[in-house]
Amino acid sequence: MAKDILKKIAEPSLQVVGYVVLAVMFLYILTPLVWMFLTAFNPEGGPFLELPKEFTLDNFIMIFTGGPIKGRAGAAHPFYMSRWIQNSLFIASVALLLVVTMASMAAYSLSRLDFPGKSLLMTFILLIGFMPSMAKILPLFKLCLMFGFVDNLFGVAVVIASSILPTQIWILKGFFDSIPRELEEQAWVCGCGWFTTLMRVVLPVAGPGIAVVALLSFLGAWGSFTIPLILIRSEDLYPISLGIASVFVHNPGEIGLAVDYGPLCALSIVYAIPSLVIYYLTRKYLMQVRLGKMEVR
Amino acid sequence: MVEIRLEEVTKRFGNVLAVDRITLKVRDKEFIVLLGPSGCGKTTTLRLIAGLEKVTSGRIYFGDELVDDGKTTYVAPQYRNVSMVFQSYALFPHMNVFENIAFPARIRKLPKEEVKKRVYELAELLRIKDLLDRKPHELSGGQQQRVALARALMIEPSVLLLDEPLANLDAKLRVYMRAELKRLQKEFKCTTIYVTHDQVEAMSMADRIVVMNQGRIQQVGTPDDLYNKPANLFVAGFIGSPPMNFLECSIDGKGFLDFGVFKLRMPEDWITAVQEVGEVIYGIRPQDIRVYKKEREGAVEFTVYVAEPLGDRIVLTLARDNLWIKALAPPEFTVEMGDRVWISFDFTKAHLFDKRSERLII
Repeated sequence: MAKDILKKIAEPSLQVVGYVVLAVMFLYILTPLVWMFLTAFNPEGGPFLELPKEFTLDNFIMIFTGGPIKGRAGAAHPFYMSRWIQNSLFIASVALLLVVTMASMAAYSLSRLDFPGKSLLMTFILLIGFMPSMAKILPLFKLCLMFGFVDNLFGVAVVIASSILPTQIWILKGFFDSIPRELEEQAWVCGCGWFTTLMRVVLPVAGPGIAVVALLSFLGAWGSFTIPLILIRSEDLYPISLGIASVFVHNPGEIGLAVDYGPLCALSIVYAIPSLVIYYLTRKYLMQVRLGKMEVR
Repeated sequence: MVEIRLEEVTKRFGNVLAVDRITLKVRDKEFIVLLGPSGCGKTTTLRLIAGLEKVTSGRIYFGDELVDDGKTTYVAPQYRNVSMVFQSYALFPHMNVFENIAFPARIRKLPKEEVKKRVYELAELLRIKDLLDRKPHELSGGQQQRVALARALMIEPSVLLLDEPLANLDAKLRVYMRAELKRLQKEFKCTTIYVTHDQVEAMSMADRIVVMNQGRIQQVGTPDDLYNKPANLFVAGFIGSPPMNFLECSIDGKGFLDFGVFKLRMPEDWITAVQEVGEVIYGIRPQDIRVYKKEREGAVEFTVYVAEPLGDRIVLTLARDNLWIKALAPPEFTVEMGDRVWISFDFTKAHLFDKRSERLII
């Protein structure tokens, strides 16, 4: 009897405890996001969580047009913000193109050809991918100086692409491995040469994999911080990540005075959007990502 | 449609000898089946003909054209004008059924109207007309198989290559498609090479069967030839169900076969045939053994080890000392385990093989 009562009380109360824990975590995670969101649409947003008295898109207009809006005072940063968005877009797009082109070629060869030292090469690629990019930053920086990649957006994109490439090769190899060889053989028998087979059978079938790799590399380059930090010096060449950081770094101890919170939060939202959109677009294919058969030795 | 010739074709994969000096002529419009256990080289032979593998040595001809000699000449699959149905069907997952079937014609840039007409004809013939808009993953195994077949028949191939096309279907559908395939082949009159490990499939469909084992051709012949005149022990054991009984015995010089526990008198023509051989193997199919419940002249006594009724017949496993024999009896022949029965052998349908060379003597 007592046991039953205990059971009746204990079970629901456990559930309540669970919900309370969840709610606390929820608040903890969501509060900064909510603050960011509210401030971005607040004409007078500050460093505190407050409900806007009126709703405005001025902050977004400012960061995209680059100029201050009439009748609104503010720091000089919005002038650069539009440039920062363009810079990030440029870096991410170039990195995407480089990674997709090179990863698909490399992954297809690794998936289909047998050659001596293949597993060693695969392991090597994976190890390079695992290594933090900062670990090799000194020689990398020297190389970049040689090639004129310092303070050069294209150069930054190349370096970022090289850091993303190894893992993407592995992901794409997994996709190519899952395409049965018979599909290609069937295409040959049907009269296709190697190029037609690639264009009409292999790439369309690997399409989801290539899309995943494209979007992952876009995101990787879009979010990249350390490589631009080392390689870019001029403020007008900053990508968004560096820009947002610089707003704080350049105003030590003055947070709340010189930082223009409205445009900054708007910029943060713009910065966050691609990852949300990309997750939504590729959620079906992301589930298919696998690193193929593990052949690490 | 051409005649296909393989001359002394050998294929090695590293140290593995997959196909060993095969010489074969596939006649125009013929339905030929490559039959053998898994790993016997039958699929490799098919892939060599398709051009998916290159020969190590030997020559392959399509009509008068040399397509592969392992040295200077090699015609790639796309120029051989063959059609192939893989065991997995290999349908293109990103195309619907219509596009899959039309694919070989599209690659050959045939006029659109003609392609459309042909696809509809084939779809009608293979009863997949309602499926043309579907994607391969929305089809059942049998439907996928028919789509793959339609695609293979879309063009007029020099030769139609089928690699175990029925293996992934359930038993009932397999029997149905077996008959359909045979009818289609005769209708389209295309030279067909069909690979299978199922001897029933081979027997029921083929004009001629090529039995292979360990990379070598064991025998080439009509289903009737293979059944009644198997060239060696392997073919005799592979063709027919339940398989042929093999009994080791010796020849005693007085016209008798000595099985150890009993002797059988040989017919006259056997005595002359076996004069120079010592150890032999006596082969007889279960259906050529007569079983009696009572003792009779010339019949040998055995004990019933197990009886398996199949409805239309009973498969009996009989034992005597260390001799084991399978025999067939009519359904009304009711026996229990341990019963004594008497059997007699039909010598006109039995065979004698040389124990050493395993070749047929008579």
